[in-house]
Amino acid sequence: MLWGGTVTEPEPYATAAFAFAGPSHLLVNPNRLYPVDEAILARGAFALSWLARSQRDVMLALIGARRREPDKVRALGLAVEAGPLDLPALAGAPRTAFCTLERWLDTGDHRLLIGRVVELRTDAARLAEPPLLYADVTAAPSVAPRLERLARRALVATGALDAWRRRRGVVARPRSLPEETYLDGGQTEAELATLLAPGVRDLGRRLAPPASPPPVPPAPLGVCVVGPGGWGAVHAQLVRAVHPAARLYVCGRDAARTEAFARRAGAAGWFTDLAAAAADPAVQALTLALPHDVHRAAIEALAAARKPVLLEKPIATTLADADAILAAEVAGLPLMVAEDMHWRPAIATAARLVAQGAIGEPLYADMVAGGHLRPSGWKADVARMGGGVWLDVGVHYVRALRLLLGEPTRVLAARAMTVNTKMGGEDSARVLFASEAGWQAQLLTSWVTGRFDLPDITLFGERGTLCCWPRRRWVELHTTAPTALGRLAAVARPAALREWLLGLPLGRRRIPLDDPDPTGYAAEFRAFLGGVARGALPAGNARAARRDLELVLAGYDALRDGGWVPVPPDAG
Amino acid sequence: MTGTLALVLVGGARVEHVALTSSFAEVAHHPAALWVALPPASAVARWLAAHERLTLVVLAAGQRALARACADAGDGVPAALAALPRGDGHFAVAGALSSTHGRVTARESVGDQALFLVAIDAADLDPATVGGAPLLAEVPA
Repeated sequence: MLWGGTVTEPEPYATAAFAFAGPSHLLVNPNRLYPVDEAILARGAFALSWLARSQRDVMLALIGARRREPDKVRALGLAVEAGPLDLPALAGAPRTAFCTLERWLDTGDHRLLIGRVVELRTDAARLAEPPLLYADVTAAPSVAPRLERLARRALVATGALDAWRRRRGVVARPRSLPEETYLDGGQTEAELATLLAPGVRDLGRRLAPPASPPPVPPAPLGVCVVGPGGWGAVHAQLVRAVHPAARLYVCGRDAARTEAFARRAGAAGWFTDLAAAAADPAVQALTLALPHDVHRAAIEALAAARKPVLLEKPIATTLADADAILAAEVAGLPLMVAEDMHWRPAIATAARLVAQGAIGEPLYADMVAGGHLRPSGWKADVARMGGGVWLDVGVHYVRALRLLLGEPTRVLAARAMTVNTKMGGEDSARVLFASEAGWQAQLLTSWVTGRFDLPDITLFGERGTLCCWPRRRWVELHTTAPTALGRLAAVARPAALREWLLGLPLGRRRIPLDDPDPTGYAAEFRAFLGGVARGALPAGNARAARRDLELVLAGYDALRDGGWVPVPPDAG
Repeated sequence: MTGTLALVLVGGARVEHVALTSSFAEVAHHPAALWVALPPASAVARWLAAHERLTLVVLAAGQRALARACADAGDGVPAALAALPRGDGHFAVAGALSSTHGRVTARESVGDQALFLVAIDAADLDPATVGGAPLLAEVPA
């Protein structure tokens, strides 16, 4: 395992190509497509950790890691220790050599780096273990290596292997090793430039999914749900579900409606004045499920009380309102903007799988969201809503996009004919985001087409595809890596059996989610109420919500403009 | 330090010199190349000052005796290799994991070693040993 960078910014790389040239020099040749090459040249130093056979899984994880993943150590959970020259090394490796880069030779798609060894470190506990060899990670371990060797020799001696290869058209020796090596994995300078154009690392992702929040401490909390409507009822249920000891309060402008809501929800009390609710000592936190256009006014009314607030998404309908809300947070209001997508376990699982290289470099995302809905009241009023389905639903998927792939740099949008003439905003919209990091994502939001049981998020990568469903407790990974069953199916006869076998999801794996609630709502409320109980809400939440809004508004700009529109850089 | 052992064979119609080494590795996929380090005073390194072709033979685990014979032969060629025919213009050692043939394109001095960069032309893979274990040795580091 080759290491570039520093112990605080380590860059690991899997290699089997290295050797000592005499006792003082160590030669390695990293692939120029990987960030380690740049990291070593920048620092003028590197380390090489030799692994024991028992560390095979560590090496396999690194081999499979996403090439442009900027933090492979965290993504793979590698244990790093510091060496001389502030160099990183694998903790627990039997041997590690720390080198200064003496010079390098321009040798094509892999540079030959010549290092002078400054220290050789050993781990006595592991020295006795057999070393990990190239063959150990390029093939499945044999259960009976001696028998396998004997069988191979018998096949060669009898000519059976040659006969089989002739029949299969397998040529025993490549006609041109250089040509075949190049076609298998080599790159010309022009090809290197093409592949490196989006960056040797993908640095476009600023947000990472949080860990699943722990349970809320059991001490009772007074929580006031502001907005006795349909979504306020969902807030009340979520408060009850994640914190059964909570004392519920309700606040609404209409006394009769609010009282009825409080009675149904089993609330301990109710208010018709927001400032009074915030000032009441029985209320320790508030959740806001209000029309979008009153978010700013509500936050400004609550600012003086400085009690923790959970504000429903979108943060606001304009950036000016969002900035005013952020200003209240800066002035001391503990604020979290609700975004279930941020806490949805499928997003965390998918992001982890992407970082670990399960689909290789992600190239495209398809997100399809919405479903049949005929909005009424303020949701049908474009001035109060701030838009249509693209604002209301799109803002969720913009967050998903940012968590999974990163920040887009431009946007294109279009929409089909209007079907629902009873709403002021758009009833459907298709928005295409693109990033200089090399990916594109299409977000289709619609309240006039069916959702059915389709995945709402599909990520397409060079090595596989990931599918997420809103309410399933797993994500599906379809990989292009051949499976033993797939290979068997490909040669099965008769043809009808082969076709049937190939139709089975042989390359599919279902990866279970870490959290029993697949929606993310329970985790979101655990994060909020747990933060209230512990005196610290999750940081950066409101600013992330402002960025979501900024991207949604850029989508509206593109819808009006009809062409690609640059997205403002993330100021976050 | 554990290293994989290989032989470097040079010669014309027959093997003229052989060196045992664990200092070698691939360099690049394009252009396909490898590097090998040898003591500059060795017979193989001296031969390569005037000739460019060599064969690098990666030894299989069962070829310890051949490795020992090469180590004991000094600048000479052990009997097992002296009569090795140059088939298809290359030397190929039966039972080895691979025999890779190439041309020296550059020579560098690295510490007390001469480093040869070799453009790869072709390789022989013995189907009986493909995927087999290499011959390992503890080498000084």
